[in-house]
Amino acid sequence: MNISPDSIIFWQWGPITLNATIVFTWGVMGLLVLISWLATRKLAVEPALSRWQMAMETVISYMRDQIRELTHRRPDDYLPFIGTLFLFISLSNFLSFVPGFQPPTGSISTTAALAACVFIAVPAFGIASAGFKSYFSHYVRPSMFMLPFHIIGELSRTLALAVRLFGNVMSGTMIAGILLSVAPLFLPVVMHALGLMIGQIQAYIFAVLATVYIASASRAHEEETKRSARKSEKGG
Amino acid sequence: MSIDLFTFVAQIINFIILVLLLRHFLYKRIIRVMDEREKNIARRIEEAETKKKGAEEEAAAYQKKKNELEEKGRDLISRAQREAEDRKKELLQKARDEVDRTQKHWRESLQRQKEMFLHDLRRRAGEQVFETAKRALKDLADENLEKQIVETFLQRLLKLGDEEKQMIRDSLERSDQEAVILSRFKIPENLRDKAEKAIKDFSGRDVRVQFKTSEDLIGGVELDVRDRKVAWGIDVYLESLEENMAVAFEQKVSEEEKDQEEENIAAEEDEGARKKEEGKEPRKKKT
Repeated sequence: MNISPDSIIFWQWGPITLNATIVFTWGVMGLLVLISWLATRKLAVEPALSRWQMAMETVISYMRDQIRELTHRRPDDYLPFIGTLFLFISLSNFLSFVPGFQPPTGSISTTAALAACVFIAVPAFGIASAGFKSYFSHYVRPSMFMLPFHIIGELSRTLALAVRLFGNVMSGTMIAGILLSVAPLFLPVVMHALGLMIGQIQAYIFAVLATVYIASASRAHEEETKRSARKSEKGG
Repeated sequence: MSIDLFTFVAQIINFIILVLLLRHFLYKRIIRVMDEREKNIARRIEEAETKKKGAEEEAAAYQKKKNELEEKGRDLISRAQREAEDRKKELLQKARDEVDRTQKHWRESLQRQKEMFLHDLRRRAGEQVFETAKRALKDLADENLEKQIVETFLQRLLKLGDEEKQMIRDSLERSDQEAVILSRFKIPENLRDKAEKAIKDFSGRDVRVQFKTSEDLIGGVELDVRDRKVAWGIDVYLESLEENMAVAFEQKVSEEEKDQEEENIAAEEDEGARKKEEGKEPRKKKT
C-alpha cells in the first residue's frame, strides 16, 4: 500500500526519477491543454458559441467574479495563477475516481510545490503592485521586532496550505483503500463520492486562500498609502 | 511521506509551465473574446440609446408640430366663426337698413300724397266756397248794392292811415294826377261826382278820374293810381275765407302728422326692444 504516488517509480536515471506524481501531473496538464485548445479552437464573439467555449467561458467568468469579490481589483492579473491552481487541483482530484489514477495532489511533494509557488507569488504580486521597498516595509511594522513573527506567519501558512491539501486528498484515497479491504461492496462508493466532493472543496479552498494571501499583501500596502496620505493631508 | 526534492522541483516547474500554457491557450483568448463581446454589447446598447434618444426627439418634434397644427386649426375655425358672425351681423344690419329706407321712402311718398291730396282738397274747397259766394253775390249785386259799396270804399279811403294816404298822394303826383276807378257795374253819375270830389279832397289837388268797369270784380271797387291800388270788395273777404280755410286744413293736417309721428316713435321703440331681445338670445344659447 502506497501512501504517496511519489513511491511509484516508472523510470529512474541517477537523481532523475519519473514517478507517478510527475507522470499523472503531465497527464492532467495534457488534458487541461487539450480542453483549452478545444475550447479556444473556434472562438466566436457572437452566438452560436461552441459547447467547449461556452463551458470554459462560464468557468472563467465565475473565477473572475470570485477574484474580483476577494481582491476588489482587476481580476485579469491574478487569473492565470489562481485559475490554474484551481483547475489543476480540481481536475486532479476529480480524476481520482478513474481506476489506476493516482491524484498528483495526493503527494506532499506536489502540494508543497504548489504552496511554494503561492509563497513566492504573494510577495511577487505585492511587489508588482506596490514596489519593492514599500512591500517589505510592512514586515517591520509596527516595529523591527515583528519581523520574525511576520516571517514565521508567512512560512506557517504556506506549510498549512501544503499539508491541508495533501492531507485531505491523501486521506480520501487512503480511506477509500482501507474501506475497500474492510467492506468492499457499497461503503467505498459512498466514501469515494465524499472524496470527490472534498477534493473540489479543497481545490476551491486552496485557490481562495492563495487569493486572500495575495490580496492581503496588496491591500496592506494600499492601507499604508492611504494612511500616509491622510497623515500628509492632516499635516498639510 | 517525505518530500521528494526532485519531484518537488519538477512539480514547481510543471506548474509554471501549466500556468504559461493555460495563459496562452485559455485565459488570454477567452478573456479577449469575452471583452470583445462585452464591448459589442456596450456599443449596441449605446447605439440603441442613441436611437431611442433620436426617436424620442423625433416624437417630441412631431408632437410639437401636431400641437401647432391643432392650434392653427382651432385659430382658423374660430376666425372663420368670427367672420361668419360679423358677416351675418352686417347682412342683418344691411337688411334692416334696407327695410328702414324702404319704409321711410314709403312713408315719405305717403306723406307727399297726403299733402297733395289735402292741398288739392283745400284748393277745391276754397274754390267751391269762393265760387258759391261769388255766384250768390253776383246774383245779388245791383246798383243799390253798388252804391253802398262805393260809399263804403270812400269811407275806407278816408279812414286809411297817414302813411298810406301819403303814399297814395305821392303816387298821384307821379302819375300826373290821374286815377282809375274800377267797378263791376257802371257807377251812376251822382256817385261818380261824389267819388271824384272825395278823391280830390283826399289829394288836395285836381285829379282826373276815369271810371271803368271790370267783369273780374265781384261787387267791389278799386282805385288804381299808377303803381298803387286801393280796393274794397267782397273778393277780399272771400280770399280771406279761403286763406282761413287753408289754415284750418293745415292745422288739421299738422295735428294728424303729429299723431302719425308719435305712432312712428312708438313703433320704433317697439322695434328697438325687439332687437335687444334678439341680441340676448344667442347669449342664452352659449350658456
